[in-house]
Amino acid sequence: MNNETEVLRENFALILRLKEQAEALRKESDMLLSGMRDILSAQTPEALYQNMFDVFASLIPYQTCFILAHETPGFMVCKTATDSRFLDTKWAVDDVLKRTLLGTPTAVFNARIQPAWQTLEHLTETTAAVLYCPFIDNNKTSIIVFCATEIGFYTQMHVATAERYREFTEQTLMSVQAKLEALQSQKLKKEREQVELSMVQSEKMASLGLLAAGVAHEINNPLAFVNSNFDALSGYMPSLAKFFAKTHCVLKSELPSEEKLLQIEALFNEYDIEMLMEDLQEISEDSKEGIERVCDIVKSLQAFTQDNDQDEAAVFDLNQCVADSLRLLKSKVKNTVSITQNLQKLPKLKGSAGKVNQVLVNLMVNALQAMDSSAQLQITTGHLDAPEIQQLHPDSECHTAGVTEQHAFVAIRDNGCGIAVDKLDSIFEPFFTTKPIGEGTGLGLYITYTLVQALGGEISVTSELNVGTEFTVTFPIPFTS
Amino acid sequence: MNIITAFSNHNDTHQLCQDVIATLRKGSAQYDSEQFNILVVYFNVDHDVHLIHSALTEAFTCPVIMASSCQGAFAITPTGQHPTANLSVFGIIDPLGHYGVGYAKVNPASPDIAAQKAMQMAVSNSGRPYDAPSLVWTVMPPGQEEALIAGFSQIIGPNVPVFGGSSADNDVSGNWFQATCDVVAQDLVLVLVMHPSSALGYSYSSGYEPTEVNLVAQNCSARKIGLLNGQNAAHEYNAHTCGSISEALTGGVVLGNTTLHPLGRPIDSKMGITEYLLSHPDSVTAEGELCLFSTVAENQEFVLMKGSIEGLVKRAAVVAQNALDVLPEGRKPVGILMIYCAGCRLTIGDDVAAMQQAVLEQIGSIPVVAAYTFGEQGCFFDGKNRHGNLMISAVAFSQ
Ligand SMILES: Nc1ncnc2c1ncn2[C@@H]1O[C@H](COP(=O)(O)OP(=O)(O)O)[C@@H](O)[C@H]1O
Ligand SMILES: [Mg+2]
Repeated sequence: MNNETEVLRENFALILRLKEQAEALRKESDMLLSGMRDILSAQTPEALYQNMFDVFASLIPYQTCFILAHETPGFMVCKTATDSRFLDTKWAVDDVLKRTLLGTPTAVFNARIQPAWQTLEHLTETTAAVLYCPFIDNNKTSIIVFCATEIGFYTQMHVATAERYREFTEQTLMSVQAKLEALQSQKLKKEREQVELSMVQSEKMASLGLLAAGVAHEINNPLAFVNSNFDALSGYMPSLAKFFAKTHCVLKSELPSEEKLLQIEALFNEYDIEMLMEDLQEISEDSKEGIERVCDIVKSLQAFTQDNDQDEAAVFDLNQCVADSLRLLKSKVKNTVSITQNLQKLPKLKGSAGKVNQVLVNLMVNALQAMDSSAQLQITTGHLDAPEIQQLHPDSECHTAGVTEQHAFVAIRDNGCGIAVDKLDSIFEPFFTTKPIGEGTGLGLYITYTLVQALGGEISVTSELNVGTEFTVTFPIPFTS
Repeated sequence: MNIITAFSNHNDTHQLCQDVIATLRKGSAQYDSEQFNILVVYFNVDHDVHLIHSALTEAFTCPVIMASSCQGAFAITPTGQHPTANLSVFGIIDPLGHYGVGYAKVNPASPDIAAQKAMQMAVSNSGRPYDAPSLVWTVMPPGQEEALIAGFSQIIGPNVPVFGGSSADNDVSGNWFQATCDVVAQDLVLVLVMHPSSALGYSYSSGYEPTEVNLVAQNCSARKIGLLNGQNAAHEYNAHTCGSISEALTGGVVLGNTTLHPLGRPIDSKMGITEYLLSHPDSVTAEGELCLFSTVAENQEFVLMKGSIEGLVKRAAVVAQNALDVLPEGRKPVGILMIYCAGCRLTIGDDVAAMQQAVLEQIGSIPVVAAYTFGEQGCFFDGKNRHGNLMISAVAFSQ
């Protein structure tokens, strides 16, 4: 026999074997890397888990794969599985599971004899060999379980593979976790935005309802006197018509010019035309004013309901907003309320006037509701520089970045009942209200807060019980202005 | 994990045992008096099996598996070596590993039942009753090895590598023995399931080369072949092997004549290398049927293999090296447990020392024990467990 040939053949076999091992390794890591990409591209938690199980399948073949997480002491529970029959099954932590939890993957040749499966007999119909692999999930050890139908399917080779890719598996699971959280928070965020949107809307509607009565009254008043003016106007019409008819006859007659003048003069006095003209002047001016008032109210209402969120370039005039809001509230404000306005000229600020009006109306309504006798509402606008802002909102991080930024503010101060110190933290929470049902929704300040945030501003409050409350809203002044 | 090997070739059985016990004790003392997990013992049946058994089981409390090896057993220790020592022991110290021994009497009518029983016992004694073992080491009585292997897989599945050999006596007279701590007998299947704390490497191969001659076996029953290529099996075989069995064409033992001309079953591996599982003709019946040491299926296609003394001498070193080569990178080998076919061992005769020398030169001072057996179990690259003749196998242990 040629020994050289024999040794060569053997060496060849060995090289082939090593090459095969290397290729298997490369293939595994390739598959895993592309698997990672798939995982991260999942759009739903279901797809995410499906992709994750697919990645595991490229690593270790299985019939069923599932994940056990800790539940109560001594038990684990199946939270995710490729076979729904395994979902929510409870697993006693036996010797095998315990060893796995301590960190070593374990291959069981026949599940039918393993204690943990004894209570799950119906599942062993399709399961014989089992491979348990530990992984760290949120600082806790969980177990991925691979099942095969053939007895002894999993060998130490699979254990070695599981061990070799343990870190990778953990990373995979970590990215699955992260992706899952991202998916869920995206969903949550969307849901929250949806809820907020509808709350803003419903609060707006509630405010509108609150305002509607007053607004109707506001519109009714000028309409009433425009109406009575028109009554007066039509009262003058017959005299005017007669005057013109008679004047016409005089002008058409053969009388000499002097005579015509004298007769017209007489008619002028007879019909009191001078006074009539004065009255007409007055009526038309009066009516014009009335119509203008109606126009203003309608404009304010529009400002309140308009929604130019989408408009990046939208700007508002804070003082105009104060005027609009006050106008909307005018009828709500009893005669006993004295309103002081101290408004400084301000540059245009970025944002939608509709939002600002809603903020101001909410704050003013709260102030009015908090006061009864000898109510004083004080509205101030003006500039604030950085240190003042810092003092006003000490908790905020926003302004540390732009120390030199200038701010505009509006302060609404009342001398009402005030807010107890222990309530001060809660007033911006949704549904927090101290008012009876029907009067308070508890949403006003929550929405106000949300709107102010959306406008890039901040809101703060100071209050003393039975002395009064002051809300201050600040807005950054854009550099261009 | 540490391996301690010991041997003695003393003619006095008592002294033989004391030598070995002393070496083992001295060896284990090096490792903070760690206990042995298991002793794998091979001995020459010229010595009283019961004396050896009681000496070793009195000296050590650990599980033991014992088998007779043809005309002694091979051992390499750090301080010396012997190719055919009367007693050779392979001791495993592996405090983090788990090992379990099982055995059962083989009833020729139902060998698979015995295999299942032995396997179940080994598994439940291992301290890891549910875990898939890394490897199974076995000792079988010659005769029904294929069925025994099948029986193992009914318990633990077909994928755990099974290595070992059929126990041998010195003259094929049936005087072989198997023993564990509990029993000494001649018809036991022994199972040692291993869950070592570190990786194993293994290799199973023959020292033969294929020839151009293809032979199809017909009129087969169990281990007998009636026809080869449609002709009287003995005649046909004889014709292709330059009259190697001319003297026994109508009956007789041919074991020694056929060692260099076994029948090979081609086993294709997925890597395109064909490996050969060998069958060794041991006798011819009066009808000219060829009897083998392994089962033959009807229409089995064989390739006539050829071997040489030189090839068989050098072969063991290659197989040992192969087992080391497949250990994971960076693992330090600590010992090798080997099987070398008794047929080959008898054929190379005194060259058995050269065979050992070749192993020593190839692998350096790693402890080795090898048994000379009447049948070899192992698995090829394709991962299937098989029984063959004239095979060599090696299992390497690492740290
Ligand atoms: N100016 C204020 N003076 C006193 N309490 C106020 C004032 N503004 C708000 N609050 C308190 O904050 C609570 C929450 O206000 P808000 O969110 O607007 O809901 P609502 O007005 O529907 O109760 C009020 O119920 C009230 O107790
Ligand atoms: Mg409110």
